[in-house]
Amino acid sequence: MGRALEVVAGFATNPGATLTTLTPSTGQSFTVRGTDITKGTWLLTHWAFNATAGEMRVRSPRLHDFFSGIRNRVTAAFSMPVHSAPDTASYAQRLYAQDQLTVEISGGGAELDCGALLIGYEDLGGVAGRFIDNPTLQKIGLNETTVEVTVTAVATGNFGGAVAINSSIDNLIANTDYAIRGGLVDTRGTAVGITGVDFGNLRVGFPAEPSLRNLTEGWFLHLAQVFQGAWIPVFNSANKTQTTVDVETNGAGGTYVVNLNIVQLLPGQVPGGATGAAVQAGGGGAPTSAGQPK
Amino acid sequence: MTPPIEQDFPAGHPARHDWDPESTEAKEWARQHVHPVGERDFQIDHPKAADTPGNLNHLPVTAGVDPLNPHREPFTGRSPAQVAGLRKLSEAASQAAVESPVLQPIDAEVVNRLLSAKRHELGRDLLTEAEYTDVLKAYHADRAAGVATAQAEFKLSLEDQAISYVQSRGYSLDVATTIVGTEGAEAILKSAGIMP
Repeated sequence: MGRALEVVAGFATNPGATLTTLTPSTGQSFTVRGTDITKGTWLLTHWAFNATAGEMRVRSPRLHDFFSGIRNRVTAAFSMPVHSAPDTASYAQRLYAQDQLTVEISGGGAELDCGALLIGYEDLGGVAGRFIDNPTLQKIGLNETTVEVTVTAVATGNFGGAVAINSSIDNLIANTDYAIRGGLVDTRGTAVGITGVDFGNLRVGFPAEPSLRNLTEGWFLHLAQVFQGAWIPVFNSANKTQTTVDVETNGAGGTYVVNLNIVQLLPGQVPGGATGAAVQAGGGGAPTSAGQPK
Repeated sequence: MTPPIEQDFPAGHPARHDWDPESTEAKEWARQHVHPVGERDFQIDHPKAADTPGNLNHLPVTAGVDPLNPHREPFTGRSPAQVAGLRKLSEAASQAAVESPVLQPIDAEVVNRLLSAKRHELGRDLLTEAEYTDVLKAYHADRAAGVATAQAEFKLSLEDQAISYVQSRGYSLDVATTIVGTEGAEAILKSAGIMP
């Protein structure tokens, strides 16, 4: 099944009181990708990052209405979901293949204001990302570890500063699958993006909000829990040099220390992974059973 | 050793044998124990009591902010000078930073298989940037060729397009096929403005 998850972020320059259409980050689009229409495509959540309070609006004639759609107040300097936060319970908006979403924001008159959508595809042809659900993670998770990277964001409102996941600390066991539970940042921005071969080169991500650690540290876990599906991305350490972390933020740019909370998985349990030639699967000494407290 | 003298009531207590309502001790005892307006939340002089001089009840307690040092940066505790210095450094770094490359979506399963084959071929797990690029180039080229073939396979012939057009005017498939056979597909499509 071609599951995919994509965070699409954009910015508006000096929107002030005018609801201004977001310009998507370079190479991204607010048009829903072409999918198998019999499988679900979901706006799992969306959020904004404004220096000045404003409004964020997502609408399309194919959603509830094109007049106001999903419209929420954005509080200043707080990168928190305004719709469908994946905490204890949530509700995703169904999307339609190739639908062009109109995403608008208002805010300050002399700043970049940013927004991000997290779109989940149950079956996106030609992508086939590697994702697992919570019961699978509970069953095949072995050890928890953290990767820490430092990302220098650009000040243009686009995703930037991509660094390899092993650029700061290279502690991953060779040719081993890891599930990304979520992550933490030390600086506020719009979104942290993680891109890699294992996610079909689409960017998975979470809000770059340092004050909501309980939400972001297990972001994908929460998504998988509240939406009852496989939304926890899995990558193989053999692809570590091609798995990158970047950040999208406003015109202030900034330097971000990003911690990704990852879980080492039992080898060979998640389909579609790398099977390296030179190193034994699972690093050679991996246990063969796993689990969580009962 | 002389045992300590145990008093029945503390100084100033009304039950003491030497109680003098005008004494300092008695006034202090009354201040601490008599509450004419009702039960108190905290005892007299408790640091959280509203009438304790110097209490900190008015200070807002905000996430990440030290209430006694609100001028410091939330969550980091850095001084304003440090914050300004870091901002300057960070701005310079952001100006020099580059935007992330735009990547074409790929089928993770297929590409991982191709990468695996490459690893087997080379006898090592970690591929260089160039080796990755080679694999992805081959993947995109194969995919483009596959898409072109599929497009060619699925492309409607002129006759199919003409039949489809005639059907859209309300004729059944049999009648549409006869009309296209008689009039010619090209002529029908031209008259419909579908073909120049």
